[in-house]
Amino acid sequence: MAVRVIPAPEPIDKWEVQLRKGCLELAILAALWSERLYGLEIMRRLADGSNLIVPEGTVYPLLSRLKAEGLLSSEWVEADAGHPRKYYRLTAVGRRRVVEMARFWENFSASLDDLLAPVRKDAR
Amino acid sequence: MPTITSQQTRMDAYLAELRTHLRSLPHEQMLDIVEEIRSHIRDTAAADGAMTEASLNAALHRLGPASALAATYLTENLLARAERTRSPWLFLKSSLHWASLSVQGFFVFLGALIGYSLATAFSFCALAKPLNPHRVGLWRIDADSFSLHLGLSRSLPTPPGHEVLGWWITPLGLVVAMILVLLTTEIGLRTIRRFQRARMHFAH
Repeated sequence: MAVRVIPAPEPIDKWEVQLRKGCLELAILAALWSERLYGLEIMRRLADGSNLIVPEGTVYPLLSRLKAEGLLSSEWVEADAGHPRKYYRLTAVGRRRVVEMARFWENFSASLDDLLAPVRKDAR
Repeated sequence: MPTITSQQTRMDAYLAELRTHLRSLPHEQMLDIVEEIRSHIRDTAAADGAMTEASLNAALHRLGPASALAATYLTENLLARAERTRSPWLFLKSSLHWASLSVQGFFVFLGALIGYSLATAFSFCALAKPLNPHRVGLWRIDADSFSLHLGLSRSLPTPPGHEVLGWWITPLGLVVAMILVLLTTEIGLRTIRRFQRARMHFAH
């Protein structure tokens, strides 16, 4: 008789990590919606605004890719700190992408909310 | 006691290592990345005034080893460029450099090398058929075994057995080569993307 091995369910924290990873690109683009920011400011914005604490070793290379894809542009600006900082801003293509991503996110979370409504109701 | 100069030297050494690992990128882009990381280290390690040994250690620790940081840059860069161009040469070149930085990179490079080598062999067969039709092609040796021959010299003996495809080896060889190139690039990019996701860590 064949024995079916049922894998153990993933722990909730692992699922959370996967979810956060998927949202990082959208979170970075959204953080730059209304102003230009440099790398460290973007990380602080993510940590304050959405509790996304992301290591520097992840954010900088990702910014570099978003720039290579034409979603961001960058410029060096002399700062009071005594050294220049590299500021990022959204390009026109980047702005269109955030709008599309935000629209998708809203539809997706609305339909998920409908599914979750009975769960929330019974869990109370 | 460590001095500010010694912190500066350590920071420069970290940036020099980063620069070395990023050498496969265009020069301007490499300089831009190194300067951005320098600016970041200054912002985080000297946030309260002078850069101390402890603050520099903390800043470098958060950035991770220069080789790992460079590997992430190369991978992100490779993904962006390879997805845009789908160039096998670009993919192979970048994955070779990534191979020198990580075990996963080595296997991706090995897979790419095998895929592209097979594609090259099929292309050669396809293109060499008109030059030496009796020694280039697919031969059936016996009921179960086939042999792909690429005899470029006319002095070579004709392969034993029966030739199967004839002139069809030219269009079929080119189609198979093209499929192999596309598959190798696609699987390579997907593998890199999966490794890349696994590298990212999030704190709670």
